[in-house]
Amino acid sequence: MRKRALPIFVVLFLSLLILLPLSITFLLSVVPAWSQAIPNEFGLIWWKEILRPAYIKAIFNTFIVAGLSSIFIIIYGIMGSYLFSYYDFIGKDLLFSMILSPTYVSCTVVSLGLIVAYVPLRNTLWMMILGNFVVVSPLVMKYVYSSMAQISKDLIETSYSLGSSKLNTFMKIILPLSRHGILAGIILSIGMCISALSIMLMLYNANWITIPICIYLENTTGTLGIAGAFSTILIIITLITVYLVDYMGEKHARF
Amino acid sequence: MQDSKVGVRTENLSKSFGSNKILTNLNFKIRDGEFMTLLGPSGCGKTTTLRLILGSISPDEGKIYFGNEDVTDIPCHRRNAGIVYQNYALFPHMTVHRNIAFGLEVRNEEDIEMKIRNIMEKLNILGLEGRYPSQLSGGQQQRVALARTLIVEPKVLLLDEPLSNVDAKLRYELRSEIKKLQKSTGVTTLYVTHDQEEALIISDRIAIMESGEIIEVGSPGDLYFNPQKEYTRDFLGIVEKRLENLENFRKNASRI
Repeated sequence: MRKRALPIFVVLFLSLLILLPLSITFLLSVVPAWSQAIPNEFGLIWWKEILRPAYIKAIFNTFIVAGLSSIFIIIYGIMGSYLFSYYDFIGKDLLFSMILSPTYVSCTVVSLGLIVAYVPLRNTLWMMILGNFVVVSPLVMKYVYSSMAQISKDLIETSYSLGSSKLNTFMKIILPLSRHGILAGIILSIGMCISALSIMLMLYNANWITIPICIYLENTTGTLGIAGAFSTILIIITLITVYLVDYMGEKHARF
Repeated sequence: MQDSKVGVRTENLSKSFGSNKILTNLNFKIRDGEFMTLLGPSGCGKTTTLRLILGSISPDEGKIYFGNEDVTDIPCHRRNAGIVYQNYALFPHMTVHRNIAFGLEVRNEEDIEMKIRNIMEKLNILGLEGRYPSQLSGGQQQRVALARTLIVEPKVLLLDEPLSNVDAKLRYELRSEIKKLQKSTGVTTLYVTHDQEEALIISDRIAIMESGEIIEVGSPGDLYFNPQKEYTRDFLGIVEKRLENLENFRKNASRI
């Protein structure tokens, strides 16, 4: 029993370390003024504060930027994975490594490159979407590709031999069988795009302030209550996304 | 040269993968309705030949004919060649019914349910409609794969070592079932195996392959009793050695 107690204690302690910041984030949003170690007063003042039009717009912007980015990222991730899984061409491995390279580079560096390379898009919504796309799509492609590349080529050839076209085989065989990778890619994409800060700080403009930028700005001005409320919203959105995607995956899991 | 009795014909078929030459000027004919086996050691180019006929890869040179029709440039999904792989390649996310219906559905055929029932009855797999491939035994998977392929009435049936994943007893049963099924449907069949005994039992004719070339073609009896090439004698002689070994083993066992 003693032998088991130590690992259990270590795991519990580490779990607490992970959960503590998230819990404090929520507490920040319901404590009007945190002046003592243990708060003695609770209220919804910060939640009322974020109902101001500028903050509501930030929430709306976050959905627009993350939603549009994720749509492009998932489509690109699926199409790219299909290409790299089922077509052979000269320089394929090199191209794949190059596409994945933004994963290993700092987001700030990528943003700077985008600002310089795509001047006409500077200070537009499309620049923010492009930023998410460049940073997140390689990771999503990794997930989808690893799932798609595992599908036996015999299944694909059998489908063709039965008269199924490439498109039909893609829709009826490849997509359902790479479902787990695609769903993981969707969660990753939405999660990363919603909470993207470092790249958005370089690319945002006054019309397209998102929740993470609000959190950053409120934190710099010391308004931690509003930052806490926004952080809680981000946590809730992420949890709902994970639950929905998981639920959809389970619903269609029949084999 | 264009013989209507020919089911499948290859003409100077060559294929390389990079610098690795797999097939060189491969020429052979399968008669209409014939059960022919490509027999050779692993890596001799049997499966590549099969995939060329299937249309999943293209030859570097040469032609492939189904009857009188040149199908060399016809894509796999329009060629109407059915294949059963060693691993059966059943779609794991579809039930047995959907697996068998797949080919008919993509061709927008009529009377799908009746056809499915008929083929399932023929292959003795009625009652398995709602199961997924993971819920089937090896023998059942084999039968479902055959049903799925035969239901679309392919011009040529390609079998890529389909019995290598089943136990000896089942292999014996399935071997005769495949042969019976082939005779009753009359489909031109190309069977690929490295198992000499299997080839001798199941085939109308055998093509012995080595290093991307056909060494000799003939009936099992001709090749076994009267081989024209040294390689054929050696390759098929293994069966005799196996029988001798078995006889010796029996004798020794009876002494003990």
